[in-house]
Amino acid sequence: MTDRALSGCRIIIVEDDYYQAHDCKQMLEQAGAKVIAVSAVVPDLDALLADGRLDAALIDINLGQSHTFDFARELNAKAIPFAFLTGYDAGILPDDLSASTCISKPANINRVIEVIANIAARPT
Amino acid sequence: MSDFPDKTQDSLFITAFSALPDAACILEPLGGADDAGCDWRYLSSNPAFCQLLQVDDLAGMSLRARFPKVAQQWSDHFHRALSSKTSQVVTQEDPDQPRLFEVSLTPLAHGEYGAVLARVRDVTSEHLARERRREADARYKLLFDAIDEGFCIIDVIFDDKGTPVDYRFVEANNAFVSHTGLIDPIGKTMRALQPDIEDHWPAIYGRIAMGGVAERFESESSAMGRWFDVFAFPIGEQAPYQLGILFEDVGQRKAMEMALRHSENRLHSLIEATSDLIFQMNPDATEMQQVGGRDLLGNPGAATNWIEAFVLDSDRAAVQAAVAAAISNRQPIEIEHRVVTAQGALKWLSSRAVPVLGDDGEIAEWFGMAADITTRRQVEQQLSHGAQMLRVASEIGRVGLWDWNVESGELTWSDEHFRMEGYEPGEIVPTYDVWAARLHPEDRATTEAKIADAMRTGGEYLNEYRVCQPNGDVRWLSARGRFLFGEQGQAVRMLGAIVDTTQRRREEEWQRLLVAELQHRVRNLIGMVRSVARLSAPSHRNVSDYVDHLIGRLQAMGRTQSTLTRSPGRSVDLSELVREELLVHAAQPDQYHLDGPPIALSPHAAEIVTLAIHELAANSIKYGALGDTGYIRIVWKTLDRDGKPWISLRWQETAPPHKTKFNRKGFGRRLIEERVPYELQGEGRFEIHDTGVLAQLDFPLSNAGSILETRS
Repeated sequence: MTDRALSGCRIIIVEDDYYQAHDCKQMLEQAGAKVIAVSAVVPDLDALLADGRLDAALIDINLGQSHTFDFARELNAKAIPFAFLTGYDAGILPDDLSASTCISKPANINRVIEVIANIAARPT
Repeated sequence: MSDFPDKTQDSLFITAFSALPDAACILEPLGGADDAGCDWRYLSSNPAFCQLLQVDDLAGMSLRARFPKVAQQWSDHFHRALSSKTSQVVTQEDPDQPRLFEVSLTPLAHGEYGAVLARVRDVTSEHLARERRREADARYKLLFDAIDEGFCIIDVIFDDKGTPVDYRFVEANNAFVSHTGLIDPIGKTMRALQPDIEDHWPAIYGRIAMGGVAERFESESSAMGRWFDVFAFPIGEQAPYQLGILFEDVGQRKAMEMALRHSENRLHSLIEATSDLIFQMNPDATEMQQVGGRDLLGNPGAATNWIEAFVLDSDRAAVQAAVAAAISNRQPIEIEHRVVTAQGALKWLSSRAVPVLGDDGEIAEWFGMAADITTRRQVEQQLSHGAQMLRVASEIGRVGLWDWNVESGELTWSDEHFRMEGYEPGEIVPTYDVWAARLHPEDRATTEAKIADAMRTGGEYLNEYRVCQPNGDVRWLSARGRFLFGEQGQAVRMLGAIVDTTQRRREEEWQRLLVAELQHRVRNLIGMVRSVARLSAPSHRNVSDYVDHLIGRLQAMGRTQSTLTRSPGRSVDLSELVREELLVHAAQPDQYHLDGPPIALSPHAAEIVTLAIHELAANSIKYGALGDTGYIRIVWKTLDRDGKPWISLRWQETAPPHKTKFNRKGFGRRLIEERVPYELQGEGRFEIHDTGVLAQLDFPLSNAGSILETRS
């Protein structure tokens, strides 16, 4: 049933590791999601939104040169649901983001799909 | 002349009467003894009488007839002598001449009315002499009363055994009262006036009264509360003599003397108590003679050149200089120096001497004292040793110390404490406020509460707080201290020590980050391995091939990490990296050519480049130049793109055309064409030409970390 779990969901992935980003994209697409963008760096959110709505974001915390806390805040500000997918423990989150959903790496893909399905702003 | 019963006896009496040296006559009353106005008749008169009055024998003559004025003058006296039957002495002036007679009237039994024997003595000169003496006495008395000293004349009173027990005042002058406090003494005994008078007073006076030798002495009468200076001398012809006593109450002088002596005694005691040696020196302070105190130098006797004899060789020059300076300035000598005693013991002395100036203003001598301060010096040395050790230990251990006098507010910091607060040692005077001013604002409330708590409970003060130094540095300090309390339980002092825990805290933080990072990296690595494994899968139908490829790729990743751990600069030299990959794939030096400037790759880039070279080399062995007679040129250069440094790395194979069979989009090709742009924001080309494979990796040079390096 996973192929329908995320059907129609417009999702972006922010992950600096090519292989993992590629993996996630593949899995989420298999679950029916439409992956709008995969990026190793913090993407331009406004540019992405210009092309259409975003239902959810799956973001790594550490992008090598930068972290995604500000991006997460931007998502919060625009009420776009997101989940962190990270090798860190949830304890590393700053106070204002500590309520964010956090998935620990290496993650079972079913777990990722389930979480995204829960948080995603589903189109009616 | 009446009858005498015995003629012989009569003649004897007449002869005796006539021979009396005193003028004498015998008279009988005429006409009755009671008749006051009666006349008297001379019965007899002796030659002395006749001579005195310049008359012939008067026997049988009437007194009134012969001497009418005398009869009138004397009749009553004769009658009184007769009627009283007792002798009378009457002194009368001669009515005719300036003479004075002393007449002794003795009644005699004679006839019916009796008779009177009158012995007449001319006392005119005696009287005159007495008058003169009285005048002299008055003058003496005046003199005695005029002198300031007390004077008295006493009779010493002896008991039955001849022991002097008391004395009676015969005379006393006016000053007597003020010197003794005894009022109206004349005729009274000393014991009557002062019952508790000490026995030594009558004893001394008794000795003089008996011995007749004047004495001068000072003595106290505690009964009278006075001190007397006394000169007592005998008066009279023989023992027991009367005593004249000239004396003075010297109580006040004595009290002053006593006070002076007391104060001298105290001074002496003080000197004895505080110093060990008291000495005199000659004007040039070379010859020293001990005049008191302890035998400190082992040679208190003769004057010695003390600097030569006792002062330690190494201290001699300093002592001589100090003495010379004192002499030229006429200032006291005040030095601490070492001496070697006559017994060879080494001692520290504190020597002080003051110059005594003569009338000419020159130094006449030196007077001084020296105290043995060996023990004090040792204690001081130990203390200074201890203080030095503490200081060195606190400097080496970087421990800051403080001592806060809570009552006076005085605060003492060790040098390190100053530095911890961002001050040069001694730069400011530390106070509680100075200290509090540099407390980190967020730590102030907690810190002050902890101090108050320790002060209240007496427990240990334990606190870790931040200090803001003026240069912007924030230091973490860990303090440990304790209050000391006074007798009333009030906090009087606070002592404590501080260590700087900034570095430890930084390391702890670093370690925490490192653990988190390692965890992150390991999880990432596992994720990556999983992805690599999955991506490797489609290109191989055969499991052992798949495993070989997978292991090869994982080993390449492992090599990057080894290189990274070897190079402390956290960057990897590109040339070295390529050579190692080729070596691993057993490429011979004649099969390839490397050319490019030295390039330091970031760990992240190194990881990708390693894997790319690995894939290219593996493919080349299988399909290309390395598996045949081909040749590989690997060249790189740096270039500038939009103001950022880029690297351009090119892998160009020259191989027989038949061998080239590598057009699938396999793991290596995707790595170059997709991962390089994705992760390194660069460009990747993988092309198969007739001559062989051409791969090109262009990416910006940055210093992003590896999976085991901490990315910020």
